[in-house]
Amino acid sequence: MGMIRSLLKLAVSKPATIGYPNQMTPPERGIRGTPVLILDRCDLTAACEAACPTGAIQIAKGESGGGSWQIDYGGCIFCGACIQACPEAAIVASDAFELAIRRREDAIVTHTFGGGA
Amino acid sequence: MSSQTATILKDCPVRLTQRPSWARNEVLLLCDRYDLARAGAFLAASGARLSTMVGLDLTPLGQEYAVEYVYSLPAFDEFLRVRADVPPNEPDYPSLTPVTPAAQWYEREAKDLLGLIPLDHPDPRRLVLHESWPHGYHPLRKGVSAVEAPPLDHRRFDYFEVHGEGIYELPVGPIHAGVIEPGHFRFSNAGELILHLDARLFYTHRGVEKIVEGKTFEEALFTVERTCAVCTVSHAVSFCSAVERMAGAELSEAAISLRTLLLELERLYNHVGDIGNICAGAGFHLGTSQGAILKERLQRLNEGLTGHRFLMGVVGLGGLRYDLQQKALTHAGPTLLKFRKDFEAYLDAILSSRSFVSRVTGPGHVSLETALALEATGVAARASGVATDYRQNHPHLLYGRLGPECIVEQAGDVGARLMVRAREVFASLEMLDNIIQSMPGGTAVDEIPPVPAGASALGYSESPRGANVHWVMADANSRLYRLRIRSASFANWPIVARAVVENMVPDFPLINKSFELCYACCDR
Repeated sequence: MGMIRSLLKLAVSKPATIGYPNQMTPPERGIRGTPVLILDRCDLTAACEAACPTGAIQIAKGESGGGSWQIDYGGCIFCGACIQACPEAAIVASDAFELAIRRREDAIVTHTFGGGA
Repeated sequence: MSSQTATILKDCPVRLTQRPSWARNEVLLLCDRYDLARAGAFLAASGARLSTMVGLDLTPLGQEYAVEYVYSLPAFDEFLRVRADVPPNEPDYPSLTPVTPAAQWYEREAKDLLGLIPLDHPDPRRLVLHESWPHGYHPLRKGVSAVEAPPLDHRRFDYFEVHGEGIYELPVGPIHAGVIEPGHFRFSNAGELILHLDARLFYTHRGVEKIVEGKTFEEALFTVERTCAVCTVSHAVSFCSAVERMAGAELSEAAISLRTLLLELERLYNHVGDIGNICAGAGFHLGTSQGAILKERLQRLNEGLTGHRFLMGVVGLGGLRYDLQQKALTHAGPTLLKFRKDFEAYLDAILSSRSFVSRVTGPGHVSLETALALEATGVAARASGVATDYRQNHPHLLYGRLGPECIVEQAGDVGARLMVRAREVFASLEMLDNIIQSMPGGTAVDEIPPVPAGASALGYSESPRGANVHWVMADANSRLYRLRIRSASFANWPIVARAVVENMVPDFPLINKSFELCYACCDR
């Protein structure tokens, strides 16, 4: 009986699948996607660099106060340690989940800060 | 120490080289290596069950090599750790496998990784390091680098061969169709009938236990919880509880509740996915696709609750790494309630298919004797009539209060393993409801006191596949000295090889899926 009821129910229900990539389901709220930097909050404290368990974040400080913040998403394990460590709350988890790239170097994102202001 | 354990120790016919030392519910016994087998035989007869075995290189501490067999005393929630020194100039000890068959893989692993030779082991072939690894290379010895790759040998793999007229071998894997992990299965058959299965695993051996040595426990946790994706909560909880037990840390009420919640959520989506996979093994597509839909709903709940579909990165030392989203937690109750109704209908649908029920009845039979002798754990044991579940035997976290029933089936076949899972889904849902309804306030995030130098402890949890036991030791600087992960899959793989004997080759996928063991968990 269970089987027949189940089949009848399925006959009138919509498909559970969608036509990805033309159609998309948004990820759940609160998904821990790629960590991204909010530029105007970052003070280059390097707390994220110290917290990252895989060394995926690298910070270079220029002599005149500027510098760069770099993340290698190829090394990121999406643990969220950098987000927790940042005293300025300058790193947030985005909801990005489509992470395929064509070239290895595309996994590396660099933000450069002008110094001397 | 319970009076029963004291009696066992008093009657043990083995002379101890030091007084037993107690900590928590563990007692450490030191004896001579030639007394190990006698102690093992006595303990097995006294109702002790082999939980794990650890090989140790203590030479940097001015000691010798050592082997330690850890026994669980399920009746009174205690553990016996029987250790014997093994001298470096003569690194051998009498094997326990002839008296405790379940010790077979542990001893082969210690031989590969530490060069500790079990004398009179009935199957002394390589296990973890395949034949292509160089002779004399034992990576868990302290002097060996964790990152330098040794030159490889090119020796032929050593297979167990069955000879006779009409007998043929069927090699399957290590690369399989579909997204599963690598394992090579060498069948020896007479016609359709499987006479013997040589399961060669450990293709995904990454040296997890080696690379965490020397790290702080916080750093090591990131690696440990990634040992396996589908058992990640159980690995994190087992590891953290071992460290917390060494440090003497007390968890907050909220941390205890939330860890239990995470463990049950992990069991839930695994069991539902596994039931769907059993349908796939039987070629029953309605069950497969509906199972996948239900599992997806649970993984989306995981994602909303913790930010991660596999629940990674939430458990931390001292409790959790961050509090779960309160909003998602209140949302979980209604989601699970609706899920329960749909799962009931799903189960009703697949069990009303007579051809499916007939397909899962019979194949992959594991007898009670085999399950006991090989120390099966989790679903594999409970489906063969063995009432073993660390949630009852060694109540951790909230399980003492929740008091889940130990769900046991007797038939020992694919269908019995399916039914244990189905019944455990309802039990998990009930526990989850209970936890969400009576969520204590307060924070789940806390720090732990420093870990005493040289301490060692066990951590354990009941993963979806059975008892997951972590053995952890700290060095003089309170960093990680040695970790031994005994996943449920490591304990159960030899049982899969036994379960397929006298079945037909086409039944192998079905039987294998009814265990649904991890490779990464086993290989580490």
